[in-house]
Amino acid sequence: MTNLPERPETSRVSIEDLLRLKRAERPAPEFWGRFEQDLRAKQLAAIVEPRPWWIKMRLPQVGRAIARFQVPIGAAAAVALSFSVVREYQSLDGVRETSSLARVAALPQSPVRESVGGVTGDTFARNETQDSRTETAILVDAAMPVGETVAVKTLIESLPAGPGELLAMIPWTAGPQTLSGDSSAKPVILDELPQVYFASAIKPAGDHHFAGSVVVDPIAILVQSRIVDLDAVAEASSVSPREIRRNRILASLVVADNSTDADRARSGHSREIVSGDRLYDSVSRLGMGGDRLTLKF
Amino acid sequence: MSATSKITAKTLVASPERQQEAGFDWRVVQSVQAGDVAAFDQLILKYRERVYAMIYNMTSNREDAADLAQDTFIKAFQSINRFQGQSSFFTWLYRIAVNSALTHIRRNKLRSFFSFDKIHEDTSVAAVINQLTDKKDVEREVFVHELQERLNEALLKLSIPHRTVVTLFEIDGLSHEEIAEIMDCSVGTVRSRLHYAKQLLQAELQSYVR
Repeated sequence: MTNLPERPETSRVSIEDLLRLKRAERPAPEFWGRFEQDLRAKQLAAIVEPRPWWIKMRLPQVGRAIARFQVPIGAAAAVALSFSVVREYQSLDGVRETSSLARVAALPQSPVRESVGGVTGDTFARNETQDSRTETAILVDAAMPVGETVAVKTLIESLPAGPGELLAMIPWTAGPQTLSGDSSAKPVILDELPQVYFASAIKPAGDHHFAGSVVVDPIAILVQSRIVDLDAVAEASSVSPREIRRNRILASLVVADNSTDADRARSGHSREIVSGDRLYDSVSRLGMGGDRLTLKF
Repeated sequence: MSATSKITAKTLVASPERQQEAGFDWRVVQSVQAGDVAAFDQLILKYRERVYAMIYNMTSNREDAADLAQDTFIKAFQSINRFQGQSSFFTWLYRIAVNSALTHIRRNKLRSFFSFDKIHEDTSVAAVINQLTDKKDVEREVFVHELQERLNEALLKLSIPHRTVVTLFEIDGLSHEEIAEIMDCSVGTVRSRLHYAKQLLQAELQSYVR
């Protein structure tokens, strides 16, 4: 409306007066009857329909209830966060430190025993008590999340032979007959075994002593088994900490000794398929003190 | 609401009358909280016109105002157990209504339709209209309708906080302190907004104001 209203010359109207007109805008009396009906209908609908979960949970009350614990909860969260960060940092450091050892795996004198027939990993252990050097291979099923298995390979040639260098901490999960070098022995699944044998733990000075040396080189094994790429290890970003931890445990079982290819060719393999969890349990229960191996049950 | 009642409302914050009213409301609320659901109807009957008027003056749409007023009472009923009497029930209810209106305005900022209630001409209102025009009958009705439109347009040009302050103070007759409590701001902020809003309205309605 562009035209000015016609007003008497004596009019003195203020803003407050104009707003008083707004105050005088009121609905007709019948309006309230309809208002009442609608309100009743809405009230019934509000009673019938389920209330949202966040109202049922009474989140404001819960928030007020835990308000007094804000400081301890925050402190605990900070500690947990810093602990997890430190753990991640340490695991990445471990990967970087061992990445130099991974170069050893690339040496040509390091024989790699490839897995055969769907079996993707071998762990070799040396039993010097036999006349012919018996190599015991343990097939390891790493129970990877995506169904993969970890191929665990050993470096044998890269270490000098000599008794008493390092005692192998390998659980001899096969029976004595397997350790005797019977190459025709079938792979044994750990779940089918009645007990885990630790020959050297039972009688270290007896027939089950180790003369070979032990090398634990998890990154070399992982690299050669194409599980971990060197670049990936260097970047340490694509491998989750859980996988690194598992692989490290698996790699700790790897034993290299000074046996030759010919010896290994002569020796039989006793193979066992071990699940990742069982393997972890077995390793965690092992201990070494002096000339004894201990096993916790 | 007449000018007398307006003045009374502005001075009711600590008055015995307002305290008595707040005490009555609190007793009704307590009975509702104790399980007497029907007692809530007293509060609806007592405050429905004021709640509706406030929302209507905020939205300038009678249908929206009716819906929002009903929603306000339903929300108040659903949350009545959380009301602990720290403020008066009237302030608490108004805060729910203002929040509902503001939410509605923000959601429908781009589509607003006028829908007016009829002006009930009491003595004071008739005097104002007579000062603005000397027309009679149909022409007078047309003039009043145009004035209504201009008033609502001017109010809608205000920002939401300024419109809220003007509505609560000038139309609903609340005190600065009550508005500050409802809008969760200081009294100084209320006064400042009110002053600025009046200046804007004056500029918009200068053809009617002297």
